[in-house]
Amino acid sequence: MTDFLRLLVVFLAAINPAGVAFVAAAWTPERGRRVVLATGGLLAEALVLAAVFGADGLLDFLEVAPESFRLAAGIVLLVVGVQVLWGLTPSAAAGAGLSAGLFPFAIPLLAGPATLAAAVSHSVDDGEGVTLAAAGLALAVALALALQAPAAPRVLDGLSRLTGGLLVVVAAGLMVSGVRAI
Amino acid sequence: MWRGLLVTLALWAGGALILRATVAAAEHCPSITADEALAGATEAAAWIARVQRPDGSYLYEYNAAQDAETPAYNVVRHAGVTMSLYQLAAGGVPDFLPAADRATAWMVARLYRHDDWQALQDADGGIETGASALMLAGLAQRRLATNDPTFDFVMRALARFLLAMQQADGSYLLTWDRAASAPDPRERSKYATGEAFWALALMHRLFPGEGWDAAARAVADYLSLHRDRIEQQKFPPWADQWAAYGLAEMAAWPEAASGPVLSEANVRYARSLAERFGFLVRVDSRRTDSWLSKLLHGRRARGAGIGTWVEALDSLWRLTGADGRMADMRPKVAERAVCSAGMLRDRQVSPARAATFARPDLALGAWYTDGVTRMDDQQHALSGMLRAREILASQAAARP
Repeated sequence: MTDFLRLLVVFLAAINPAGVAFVAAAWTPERGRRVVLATGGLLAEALVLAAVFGADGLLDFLEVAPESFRLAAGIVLLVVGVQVLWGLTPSAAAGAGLSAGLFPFAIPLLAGPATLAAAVSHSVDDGEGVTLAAAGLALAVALALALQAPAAPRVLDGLSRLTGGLLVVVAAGLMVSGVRAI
Repeated sequence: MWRGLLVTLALWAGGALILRATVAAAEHCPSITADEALAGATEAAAWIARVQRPDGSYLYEYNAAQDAETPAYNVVRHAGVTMSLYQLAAGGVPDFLPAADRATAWMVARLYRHDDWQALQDADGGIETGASALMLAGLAQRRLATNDPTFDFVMRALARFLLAMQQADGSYLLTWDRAASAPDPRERSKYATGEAFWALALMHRLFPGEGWDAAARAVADYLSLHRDRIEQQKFPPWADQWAAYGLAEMAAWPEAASGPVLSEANVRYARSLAERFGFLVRVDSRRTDSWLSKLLHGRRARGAGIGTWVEALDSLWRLTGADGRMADMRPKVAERAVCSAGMLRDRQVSPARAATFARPDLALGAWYTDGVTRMDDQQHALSGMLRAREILASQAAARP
């Protein structure tokens, strides 16, 4: 699997397009959803950009080796994955308007701790370009699905939990890699 | 909305703090130069020479708080400490050869002879693989330092003991049973096999064509393929710096000029060792002496512990230069070796700190853990810092 495909799987698992669409369908009125999602998407992309390009500086500031941060990122992904697997998705009456774009869509759905931790870790390990490309595409997929927001909450919930399971697997791999790395 | 956002951000901050306090704590790698590494190694050797008794043995362990020496002794560690002094001589500092030779005379007086071999025995008459292996490794270092053939006979006799202790699968048992005139099948040692491996690899380097390589290869394959499983290592691979020494020595054998000496399994094993030692360095680099650090990250490793990591990483760095299959690991292995060498130098007792001890002569140049130092703290730290010089020098040369 190429680096890009591998990272795309990571970010699809972290961002969880089905989960985002579930929230969009359940708590965002159809009218104005486009504005909310566009705002959320732009803010999330800005946060991911900051994470990707600030990764080296952040790890230098924290005095943490990339391998050690990988373990920490894996733990974050594991916690989020378990939350999603058990259906503990954030519940908030998102409402309409730009504020809903910030919360809950940008934070914590689109640019949640799993996404940002993965962005920092993979930016340092795999490079900024491929990380940004994978994260960007995953965000786009999430927004596109949320925009359609099919009225199938059970299907979306089921897909979301499956994605949570995938995130747990991704997290385990990251943690093992963080321990086994030099 | 704002309440929800603030609660979310507060939760994130809490989680980040927990991670920061635990797995993502700051890692401290004190800087060190090649000259400082050599100075640290030399000061450790000076400590060893200062505490040597007239009969050639050393002070085994000293508790500074109680100003008391431990009456126990360990012949394996005696051999290891002596080896480190010879290593220093082979590394260009012959000042401590007289002390090392006195320690060798002490060992020669305690050799047990059987059939065509000889082995180092302890005070109770016990004959252990590791003691003889390290004595042999020390004499090999002496040979490299002096080119003096005086102990060649003893070296070959010790090596024949190692052959006698080797099992069909290449592994080693710990002790020789005098009554049975055979290796005691009941006990193994996680150190002795690697020690024997390195000693045999050194024998082939010094005396090529005498057949020591076959035995060394057999151990290498046992370590690479079977040891952790057979000896039920809980978290494999066992952090075996002697195995790293042996693999690096094999990769530098004369026949390496015509092709790689290590098998694919040996290389995989070497890579796993690099990962293990790198992890140990990262974890310990987060530790400080504060009570909070001890609570969250555990106690700092003692000088001997860190020393073994530096020794291993030094050897593995040499391996990354000798075998192209390890080349991708070279920068990271160097980084961890330099970090751990810096940690060692930083924790070594300086003249200023030694002055605060009741016995400054027993403090200067040593590594203390909870107020106690043991001779192998200085041994492993000496060896580690000595061999880290090459890495440090190459990094300095590479800088613009």
